[in-house]
Amino acid sequence: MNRTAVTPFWRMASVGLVAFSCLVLVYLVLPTLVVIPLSFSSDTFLRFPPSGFSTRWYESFAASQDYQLAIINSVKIGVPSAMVATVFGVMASLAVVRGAVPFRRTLAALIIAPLILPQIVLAIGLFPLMAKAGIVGTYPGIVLAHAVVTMPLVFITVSAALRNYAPTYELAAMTLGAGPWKTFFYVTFPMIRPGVIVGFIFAFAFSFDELILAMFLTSPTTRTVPRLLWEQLNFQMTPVIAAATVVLLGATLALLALAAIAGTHARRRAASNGGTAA
Amino acid sequence: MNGMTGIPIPRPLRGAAMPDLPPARGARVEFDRISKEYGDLTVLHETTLKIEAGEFFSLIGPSGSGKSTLLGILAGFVPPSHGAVRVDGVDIVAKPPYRRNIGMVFQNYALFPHMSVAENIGFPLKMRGCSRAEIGERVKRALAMVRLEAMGERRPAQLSGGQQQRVALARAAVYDPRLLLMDEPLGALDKNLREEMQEEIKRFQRALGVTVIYVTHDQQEAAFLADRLAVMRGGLLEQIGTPRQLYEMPGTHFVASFLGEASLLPVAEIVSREGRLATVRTAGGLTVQAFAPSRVSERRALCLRPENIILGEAARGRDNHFLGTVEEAVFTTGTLRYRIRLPGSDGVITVRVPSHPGIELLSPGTGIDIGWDAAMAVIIAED
Amino acid sequence: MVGEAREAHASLERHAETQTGVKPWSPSRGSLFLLAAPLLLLALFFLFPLIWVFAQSFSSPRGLADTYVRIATDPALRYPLFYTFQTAAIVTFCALVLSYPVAFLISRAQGRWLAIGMVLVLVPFWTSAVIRSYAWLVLLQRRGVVNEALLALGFIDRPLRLANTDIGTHIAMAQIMLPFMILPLLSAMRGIDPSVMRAAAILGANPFRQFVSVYLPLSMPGVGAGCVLVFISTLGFYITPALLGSSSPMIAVAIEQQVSRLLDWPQASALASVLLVLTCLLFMLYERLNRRLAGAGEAR
Repeated sequence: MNRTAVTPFWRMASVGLVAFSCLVLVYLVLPTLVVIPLSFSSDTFLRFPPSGFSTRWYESFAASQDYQLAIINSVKIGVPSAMVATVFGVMASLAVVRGAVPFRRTLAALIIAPLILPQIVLAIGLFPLMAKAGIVGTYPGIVLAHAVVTMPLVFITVSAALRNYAPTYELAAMTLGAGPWKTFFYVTFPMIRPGVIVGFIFAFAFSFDELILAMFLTSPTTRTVPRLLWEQLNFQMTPVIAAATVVLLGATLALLALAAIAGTHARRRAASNGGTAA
Repeated sequence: MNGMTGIPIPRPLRGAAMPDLPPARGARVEFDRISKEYGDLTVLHETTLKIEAGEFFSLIGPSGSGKSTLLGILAGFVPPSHGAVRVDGVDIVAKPPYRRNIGMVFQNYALFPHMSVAENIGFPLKMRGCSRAEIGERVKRALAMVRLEAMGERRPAQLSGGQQQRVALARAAVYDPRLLLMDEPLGALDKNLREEMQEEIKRFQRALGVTVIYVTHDQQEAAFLADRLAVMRGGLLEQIGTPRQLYEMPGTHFVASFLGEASLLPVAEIVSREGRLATVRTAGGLTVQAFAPSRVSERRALCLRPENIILGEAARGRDNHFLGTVEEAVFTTGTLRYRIRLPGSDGVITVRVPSHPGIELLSPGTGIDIGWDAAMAVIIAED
Repeated sequence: MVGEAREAHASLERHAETQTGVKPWSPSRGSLFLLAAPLLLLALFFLFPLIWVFAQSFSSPRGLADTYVRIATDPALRYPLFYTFQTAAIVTFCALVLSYPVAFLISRAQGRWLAIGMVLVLVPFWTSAVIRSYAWLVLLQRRGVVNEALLALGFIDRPLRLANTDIGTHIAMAQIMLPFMILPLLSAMRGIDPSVMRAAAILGANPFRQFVSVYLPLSMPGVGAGCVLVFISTLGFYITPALLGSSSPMIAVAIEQQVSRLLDWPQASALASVLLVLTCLLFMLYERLNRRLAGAGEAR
């Protein structure tokens, strides 16, 4: 019924808008996918289009001791750092969202800051301190560093989950006789669980991808996947990197899908609660 | 109809009305000079209030009047700035909510969505360390009491609003608290269900004999349920009394117009006074016989309830009789509602007469006799 | 206003005492205790290192403020700073121009289209910057995909020089930053009530006028937040410029070079301090914009 919308000029304009947006989306998504055909190349150097199909680079990726160790390291660093980030992030968001703390907004900004600040600055500061403490190149060093930069991710997702429902449920639990611990265990945690899971996955994914802190704070024995990739990129350019990249891409997408499923679950539950109470 | 000259004396009822119940099943509550400030903002001025054991007490007032703050202080959600709250003589201010043993029904019920109905009702028992067998037994009894025996395994989201309300009631009562708080518990229900639930809540309270403090902004609901009401406004208790007292003898303009419908005529001067009967002159120049409560403040008004005013010939024999003009005539369900202009400059008052097929709706402009007895015009404080 | 007052006095409240001398119980009791552990982690592994960086920048053997004097005077140190700002501005502008229509369409989409749009934005968002930079290297290098394709199609005779140029780096960086722009834009646009546009249409505004006088102003908080976010992230960008290279190093690359090649920690710390201060200022701006965005959301 909107007369202006059917004018040919504006129809053209809206088609142009859609076309432009599609091109932007192609630019956003496609370049990354170029590594997929390259990873199945039979050539010994990067060449496009590949002259033949083979899985030899996947085989050499699978056989590589370096990659195996790096993947194990990334998991050994990602899981504990995501766990620390999750526990601390949940505590922080409970205090900031539900509690009455002074300077609430400043605190929230401070907790989010490590995610925003360029990692190179933190790396420059952490390296000499951790060197003094003798934990450069050890697991605890990089785990703590990653915990600090991933805590904001948990803080953000859990704060959103907490804001999604009214504090009445916790107050109700308290009138019914549940102390602070039991209230958290039986009421708060079950209700924010999807947010906590999503936060954990994000934290793990971030740690798994993080390069700069890993460059400064890991040693060849604790080297993570991004650092190994980086060293290989600066050293040689064989399609084995493409194969490794595709595997990591797949892993990232799997994690993302997992997070999306947890998130959808949470939304569905929020909807069945009748949304937020007053 | 006439001859209502004495002030009805409020009397907490329970013991006398239900002699078969053990007395003092409910808790006695006392707010002692309680106040609440947030910095410069005072949301509750110093308030002292006593609620008897087993009483059904209702706090009413518009939003922001402090009634929810008062309830929150009692439940333990809001730390008071000053004063003490005593339940059966013991100050509970320093106790956390989970040690107060008070039952509470929330506006949106706050049923835990991730637990079944039975788990919700069993939750307070579990928190008190009851055995599984005992929890099962008592949950079963509680479900039977609210007639939801078959719903134990359902999730709250699968129940209707009224059913959720009953689960909330069962959950708040299953551990036998002696004091039950209700914060607008029927606010989310539609009108018919509300009335049904009001009956149910009243039955429930009589059966358990607990003290109930009930917050609402619906004056009809409060009048139906409560033994006594407190009207709140701007963080202050405006008036306390039985519903009938408050309706018939409102202390202030605010109470008069918050409870039911009222026409208020400003009073210019009290010409004479003889006990509870006074002759006053209104600002509009009428001389009216009126009812004067013991204390009468400087600024005052006459409060006239629309159903107490008589129209037509019957008006002639009344203590006050004037000739008015119909300004507006409307049919509302059950009554004919008139706006009638008084002689002098007092303006228009509202009158309701019962509607039936034998009565004709007067048309605007008609002159009509209008009258009321002295007891129907109460002198109240103007604000 | 009430909320503000409540918040401001929440801390005072804990010290309030009743007439009887007992401290009233408050549900917010213990929230400071909850904060203790996260704040300790932040203090030890975030704030302390940053203070260390700042302190270290004054520890040059050549003199107290020598590092900063050199940033101001030495072109080799000064230029990366200038170049980083220039790059951040270019990348932010490109990302905004490219993102706005996309965010607009996704914000209007529903059902499956919305899901597809979100996936197309979120997948790159979560894909490692190392992987995405590597992909760009594959595309842009001398015998890379773009050159091979152009040669095969006969548009060019010789491979173009794309990697190690400003243009190539900017194209790659803008692509990597796109999700950081689209997501804040989306959150602002999702908050705009479509009936406002309809109201403008009924009042006689053509689509262009509807956009300029109604939609654009309403989406400005998102534009601001997105721009600041992209600008900050580009300031600290290391991976893409280090891998693709360009005429001059970005500041993060320069910091890393100071440390790994020259072992000049004080000089690296001074550059890092400059980056830190700039980022802090921009972050405060971002917080303010975000707050306004949240405020607009609450008012809805």
